[in-house]
Amino acid sequence: MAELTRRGLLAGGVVAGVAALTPAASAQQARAAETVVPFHGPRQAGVATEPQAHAVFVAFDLREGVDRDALGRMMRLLTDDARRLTQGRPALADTEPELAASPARLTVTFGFGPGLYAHADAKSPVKPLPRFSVDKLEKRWTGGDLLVQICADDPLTVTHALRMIVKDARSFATVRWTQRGFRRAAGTQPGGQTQRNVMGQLDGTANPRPGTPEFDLAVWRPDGTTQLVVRRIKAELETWDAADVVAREFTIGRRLATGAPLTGVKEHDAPDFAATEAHGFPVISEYAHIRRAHVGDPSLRILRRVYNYDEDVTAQGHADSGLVFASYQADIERQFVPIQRQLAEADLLNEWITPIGSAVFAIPRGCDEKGWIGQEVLS
Amino acid sequence: MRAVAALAALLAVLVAASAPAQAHDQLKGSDPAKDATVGSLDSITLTFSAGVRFPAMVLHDAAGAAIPLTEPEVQGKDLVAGVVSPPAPGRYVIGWRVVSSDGHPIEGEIPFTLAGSATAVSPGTAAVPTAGAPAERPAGPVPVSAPEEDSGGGLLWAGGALVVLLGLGLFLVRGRRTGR
Repeated sequence: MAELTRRGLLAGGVVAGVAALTPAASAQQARAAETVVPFHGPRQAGVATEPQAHAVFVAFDLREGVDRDALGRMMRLLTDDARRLTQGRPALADTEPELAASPARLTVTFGFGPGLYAHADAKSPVKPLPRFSVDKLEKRWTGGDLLVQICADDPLTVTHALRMIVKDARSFATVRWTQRGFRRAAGTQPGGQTQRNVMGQLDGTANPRPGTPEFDLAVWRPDGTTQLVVRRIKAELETWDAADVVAREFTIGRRLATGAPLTGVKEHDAPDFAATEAHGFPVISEYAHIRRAHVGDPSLRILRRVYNYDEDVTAQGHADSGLVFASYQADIERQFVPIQRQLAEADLLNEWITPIGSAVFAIPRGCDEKGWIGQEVLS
Repeated sequence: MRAVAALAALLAVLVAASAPAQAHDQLKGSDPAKDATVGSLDSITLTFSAGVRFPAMVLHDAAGAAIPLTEPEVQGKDLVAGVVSPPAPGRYVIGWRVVSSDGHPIEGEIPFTLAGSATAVSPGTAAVPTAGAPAERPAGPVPVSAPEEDSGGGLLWAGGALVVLLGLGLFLVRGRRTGR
């Protein structure tokens, strides 16, 4: 089975290689570089946006004395940067304006942590997550007053936008952490297809689909805001490598090759949690990841907008890899926390994953041409 | 050339075939023991080669009805479940599934007989309800590692060439996947 898959991948690579040589394909690639995601609107971009290939999440600590007025000045500046860069125009005083010419679906999304609301003397809609038994949180990946999520299909575009944003933010704030992540390169698989993570699993099968009423219910609040959880989840790849296919599929509750539930054939077949095998034990274990993470009520689901990370390999040749797990939901307490509780309690997958960072942010509503992000909170 | 290489690989695998089997924990013994006849039944103890996790255990009578057990508890290498109320004499089967320390699910069946005054024994004393050789049923959704699933020993040979070949094929695939 593995052989067939590998052969299939090879064949796919050959087809893609041939396609890349045709003029039509190269024109398509040029267009991809220039593709723009609208910045203005009632909701911020970068949430319902089909995930771009590259991302950086940067969290800031506000400097002492940065009050509501200063925050307003900062957010006007940062909004202006985001508005220009996402549309393929240089930021004000852009030192490398040439780099702004390929937005490649750049989105810049702002999030406010509990600390920002404290600086603004306002009530925070989000609070830090409760402690979960599986957490081994490190301070260097945890918390933050202000979050900027920068995503694009071109890593150089992400780097440039990050540089511009940080330069304008640093008189107001210091950088607390930076987390870079990646998905499959743009154009290597059809849009909307579930991606694999560094552990080899299809990741995000149960996500609500953008453009459906279920998505809007689960992700957005009526005022156009949403809430973001960012968790850094380390994958224990050395021991995961030792787990065989049966162990992996039993752990997740899905087939590795297709992503189909153990009770189904295709990826999007609904799992049959009641199905039992010969001894009467459930086919999908009581402790399988998809059972523990399953949410029946569509309005209580979360949108996983997950990136992989892969840092320096150790001298012993061990990977430092995992997920920059980002999930958007209308209400963290109502949606994310119960799922994470279920998982922390008894998820077979816990053997191979460790949350080492955690942060929560409210995502303010979007703005129009004259407005700025956070205006309704800070003015 | 290729055939020779394949043969050599097969031989190498044959020699090493028991290695991956020992990667998973195994059932070492049980009380009641397999095919034993016991005089009473207050609790069931399964002993594994290592501490297992996420245990599940069921007890069925000859008609396939479930006999209530307490929540199975891991005590070191043992897995212990209490029998809620003493069942009638007859033939029974313990079904179990646990997660080995390497994450692999293992499971099996242990048929035994509870002796005693035969008043309450169900008429169909014939056999264990499930077809085939229940004690050796391979675990899990896919029988990748059928031979080592149970303490039952003789399966590899009894199962015949088909099982061996299937196991070898899967082992080869797995070996390649993990770069072994």
